[in-house]
Amino acid sequence: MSESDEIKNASSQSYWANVKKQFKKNKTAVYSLKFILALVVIAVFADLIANEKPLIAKYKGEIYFPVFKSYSVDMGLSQYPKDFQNVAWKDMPFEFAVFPPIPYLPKNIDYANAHSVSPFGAQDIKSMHWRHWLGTDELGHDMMAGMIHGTRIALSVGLVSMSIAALIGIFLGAIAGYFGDNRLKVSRIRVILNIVFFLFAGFYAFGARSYILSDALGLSMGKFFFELLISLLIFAAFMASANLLSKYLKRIPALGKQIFIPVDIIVSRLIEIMVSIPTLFLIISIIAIAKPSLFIVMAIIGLTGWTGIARFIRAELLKVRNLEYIEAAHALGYSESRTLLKHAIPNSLSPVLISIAFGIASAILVESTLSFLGIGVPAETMTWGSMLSSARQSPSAWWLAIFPGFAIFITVTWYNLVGEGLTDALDPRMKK
Amino acid sequence: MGRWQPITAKDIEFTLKVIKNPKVDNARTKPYYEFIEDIKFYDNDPLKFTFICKEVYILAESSSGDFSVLPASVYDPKGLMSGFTIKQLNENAAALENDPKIIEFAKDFNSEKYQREKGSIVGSGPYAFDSWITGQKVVIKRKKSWWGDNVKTDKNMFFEANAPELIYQTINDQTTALVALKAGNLDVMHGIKAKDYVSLPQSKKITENYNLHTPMMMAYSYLGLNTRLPKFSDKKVRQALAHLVDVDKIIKTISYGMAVRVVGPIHPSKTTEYNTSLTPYSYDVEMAKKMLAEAGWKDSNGDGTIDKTINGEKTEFKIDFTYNGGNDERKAVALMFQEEARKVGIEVNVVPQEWSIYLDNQKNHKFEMFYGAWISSPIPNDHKQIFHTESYNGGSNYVGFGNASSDALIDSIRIELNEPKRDAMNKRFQAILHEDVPYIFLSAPKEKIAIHKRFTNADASVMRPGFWEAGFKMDPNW
Amino acid sequence: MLKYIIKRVLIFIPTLFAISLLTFIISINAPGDPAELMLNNSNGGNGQSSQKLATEKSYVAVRHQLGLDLPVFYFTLSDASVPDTLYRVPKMMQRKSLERMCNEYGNWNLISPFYLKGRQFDLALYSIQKDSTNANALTQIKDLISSLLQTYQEAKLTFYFSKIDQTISENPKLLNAENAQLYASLKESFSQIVKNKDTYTKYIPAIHFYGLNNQYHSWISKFVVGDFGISYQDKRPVSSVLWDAMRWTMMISLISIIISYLIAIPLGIQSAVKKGSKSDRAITTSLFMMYSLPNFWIATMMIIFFCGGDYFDWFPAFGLGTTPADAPFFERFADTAYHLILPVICWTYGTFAFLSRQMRGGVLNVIGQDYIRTARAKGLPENKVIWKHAFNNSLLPIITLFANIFPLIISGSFAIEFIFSIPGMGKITIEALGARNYPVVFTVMLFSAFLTLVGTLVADIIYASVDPRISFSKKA
Repeated sequence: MSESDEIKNASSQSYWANVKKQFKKNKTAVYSLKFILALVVIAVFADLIANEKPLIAKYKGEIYFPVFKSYSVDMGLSQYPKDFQNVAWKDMPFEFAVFPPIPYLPKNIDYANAHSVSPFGAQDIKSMHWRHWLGTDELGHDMMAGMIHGTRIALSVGLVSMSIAALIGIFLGAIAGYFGDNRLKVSRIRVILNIVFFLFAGFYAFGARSYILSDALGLSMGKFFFELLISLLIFAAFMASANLLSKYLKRIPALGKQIFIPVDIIVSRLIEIMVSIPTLFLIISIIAIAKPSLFIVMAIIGLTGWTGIARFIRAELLKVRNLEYIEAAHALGYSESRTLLKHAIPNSLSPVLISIAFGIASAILVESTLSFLGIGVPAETMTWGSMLSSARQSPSAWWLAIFPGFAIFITVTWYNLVGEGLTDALDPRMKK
Repeated sequence: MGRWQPITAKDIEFTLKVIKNPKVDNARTKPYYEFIEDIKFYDNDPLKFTFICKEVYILAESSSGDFSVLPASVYDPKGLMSGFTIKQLNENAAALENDPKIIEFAKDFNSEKYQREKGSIVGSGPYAFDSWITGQKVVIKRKKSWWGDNVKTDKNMFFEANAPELIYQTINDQTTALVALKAGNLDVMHGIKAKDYVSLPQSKKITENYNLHTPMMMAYSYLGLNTRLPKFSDKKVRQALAHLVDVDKIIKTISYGMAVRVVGPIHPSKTTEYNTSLTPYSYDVEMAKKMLAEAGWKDSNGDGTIDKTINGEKTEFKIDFTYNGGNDERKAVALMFQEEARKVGIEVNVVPQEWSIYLDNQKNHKFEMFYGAWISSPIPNDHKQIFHTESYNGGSNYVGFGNASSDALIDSIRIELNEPKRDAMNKRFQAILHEDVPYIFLSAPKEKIAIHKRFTNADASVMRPGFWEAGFKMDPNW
Repeated sequence: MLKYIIKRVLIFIPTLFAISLLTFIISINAPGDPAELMLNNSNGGNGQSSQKLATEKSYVAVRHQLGLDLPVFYFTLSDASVPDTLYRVPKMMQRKSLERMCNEYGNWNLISPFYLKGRQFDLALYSIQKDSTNANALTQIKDLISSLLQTYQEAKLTFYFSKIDQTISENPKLLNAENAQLYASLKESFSQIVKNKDTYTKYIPAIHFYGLNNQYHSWISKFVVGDFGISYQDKRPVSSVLWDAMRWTMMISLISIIISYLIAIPLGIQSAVKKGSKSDRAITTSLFMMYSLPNFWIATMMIIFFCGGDYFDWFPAFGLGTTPADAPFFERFADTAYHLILPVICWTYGTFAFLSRQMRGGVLNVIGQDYIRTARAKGLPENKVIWKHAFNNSLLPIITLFANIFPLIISGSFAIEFIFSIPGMGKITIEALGARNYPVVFTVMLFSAFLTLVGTLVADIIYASVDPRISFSKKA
């Protein structure tokens, strides 16, 4: 490593250590983080805590591990033995079986306890093990199982959507802030070739192949991704040849003239357009075309939520790009992309982290609103939002609303408090 | 007001002319009056007229009486339509589209004036339009003098108009509406959900102030199967699926017992026509398994889902069950079916769809199985729209039922005016449907109504919506 | 600076244009046909019949009336195999099938006569008198021809033709000479299509120009002069529909914004001044908690507990009041205000957190500055320091925030409007989306976009003119 890199690493190390120290001072934020980690644990082990299948069971002399086997079955790697297919697990004549603490999956219908049975009321069950600790809903789904598996969904909605938002937002915001309108110089011929080839690439990669793609989508996700890959390769091939050609052609003086690309204007307009189109409208239109799936909901929240992050990074980089260490990097001869990726962006991430923390919180709320509107979540899936939404129809069954409502409320609050803690910890003034 | 004038046969003619005006915005209702070709008047009696119809039709009488009569003095002050006859409008509609009088009349008729303005919405009933605040309420007020008050003979309940003012409130949310009911803000509420209706007697505010009624509703719900798909084309498969639906449990769990099982499209209250000799499909998982195996569905690859080789390809038995998103009761039925199907090795995917897409897919036959419902009425059933093969493209025969003999039966029913003969035909038709199972028929629901106790003459009836609000009288002792 | 402002204002217009394009494209491509929806809505399915031709006529008529039979845009980018007249085919399934046929066989000059002959034959079948001898066969053929007109795959088409052949051979009296001739030529054109397959034209890009007579143009040219069209749902002018709804939404939003600022700003300042203290933590945590409660649920809870159900009877449960239109203004005003109390509370409580945090940040920014230290050193009382010096300069983020809140004034909240039965913009928009009511959807979207852009422009200008760290010109 060169000397400048060492010095830079050393200073950034103490920067983050300092941030950690500041964060720890905020007791509320620290506790919130701990509770969030507890939720993560519940989410990861949900299958072991609440499941209709036993953890261990002895059947006809053999020992089985149905819950663990279900992982490989779901991935398509193996199958259940014939005796275990399409059975009601709780009625199976096991010689001995250990069921998880909550022996229900959210999708199990318990007709005997339908019509919203209260957690404290009388329940029609085999033994205390089978009690519905948080009651049931209209059709007899166990609320506790719904809450536990709902944790998985709540956390992944936040994480996935924010990851997508962060990737797009950081990329676009950074190039807008760093290059502005007059720092990215590209040869004229390169611009022309790129635009022309882009149009042709779009036509041949996607336009002419649109039927192939839509047919594949109807067959299976796997086939679709395969065809999509081919389309992307064709597209990439076109663009690569455009840039390759320009490398040679720019030697001609008239074509090689450098022009400025107004990156900032383009990206800012993109942000404006994104912000101007109401999210709900976009979500409804896209979901109308596709089958309801959680992944699409998460992707859409991410695709519509990147603007805040982009704006923050852009503002940061507008300040940062004039600072001395960037000048130093240029003087040392580092390429633009290296300066951007290794120096400028890492030092501008603080507002992004804060945005992400708050973004996860709001993604959870958005999901619950979408459930209220009846969009996006497949019917068998119980999320906190969908439970809260259907609870509105049965106001006297307080347990249907209190538990998911409280879960949403406390999780969102924790994320916000962590975000707040990060804000204070990353604030340069706090070091005093 | 000097506007109120006696209604004569000429007004009937005017209304029909308005309906048939090619530029008037009534694309959905026009086809229903296509069968009326001409009208004949009688010099000695301005109240007598005859409709000349294109063909014999069992609903001719009821449809002919089924439209609101409009006064020409209000809707056509310039007399633009007076130069045309019904016959002309029927036969030369295409040519008349360019006639300036036709165009001018339609432009005026289609405008906002006749939807919102007091004094521009005039009909022959006992009430006059007062106001309509969009999304809020519609208010109508009793006319001071109405011709129906002077009618001495042939009176039925629809001649009773005692309420001086009727306000129809729009409340979107069921829960809000129930609270409003308990708070005493509403006099009448119908369409109460089963689950809520059952809990109403627990509230003192309700029991003290409201009477609750559950009259039969002339409607039925069903599960539609796309019979043109290879997996559903075998009748035995459809019958097997019928054995998987525990209709009694659905009625108990989801309708709280407030529904009656049906075996066909004819309502059980039509006792002469309803085919009581048909045995409804019993809930029998073993029978379903057996029938599916007989139809060639077995689990050949041991993955838990039954499969069959269709057109050379091994196909797993998977069903996409669609319903309109937001309807929790339909969702519950779908989830119940999913559980039962799992027991025989069929994988069911429950898919909520937005209403417009849900309808679109049915019309274009892009569905596998869906939850549907039809509303009927006491008038005779005409099965053409829903079960005739001609209605497969453009009509409501979404499931693709029918062959020449069922078509012939439907066509005969349509023109058979002799009731006992028609009843026998209808019973035969129900038997055909029962065996073919294009629909898995579920139940006919009961309407759930709450009416404030301070009204008398407020009984429930089977005519939609279940009560006749205009006839309510205030109880002096309340 | 001035150059920057002028540049931004000029860019405003193409951005608006781009948004209108995007909204238009997304809506038009959403599945669902407004013409079908309109025709379908009244059909309670009570079994009444309607002639096939009459329904088809209605469908075409409705499409024409809604302007859906025009090409979608000024031009289309597609490939050489697709003709530019395809938009004229009314039935969507047939149109889509023809598109795929072009893609599959590439020879529109042969596909077009095939389709026209198919339609002719279909029509001819309906004029054949049905009787007991041919009922079966006639039904079958009608069915097959309908499916044929919507199919493009060669194997399926061949299959359909063979079944029709079979039916005809079993019923020789079915088709008269003219119809038999028609059918023969139909079959012939199909085999021509297959024989002369051209798989290369689809790889040649092509642009078809339609001029000004297209849906987008007819919409936007009317929009810019203020004619927003007629709503598909109730045939009233869009402007009346929106004005009815906007009154209520604006009322609720404005009241809500005022209350929000009145409460959040002092709380934010307090939080900043007493930073790190117990009161700061308490304020922050409680505001976050309020943010975390989903508003649709709180709305329902409030109605259940406070609106005369089984608990308290303090507020009305729904609507906007029942005072007649001719009552004195103050009476109506009071009644409406009474009905709006709960909706406004539900709309507002979630916004305190964000606003007060922004204020807190702004104040903290300023407090650390030198001139504040100077003021303190001079001995000024603390509240004078805050309110006289710090306050003004901390308002910057709040002002820029207000510019962004601008569009929310007309967007409304569907959840609250639905639950409280208030006919506001949120409800109208969502319902219009569901009914594919394009005129309403476009008008609302474009208005909201316009306000957002204006808000962003104002915010950017204020932000840029005040913060010296941001440079917009190249560093010397």
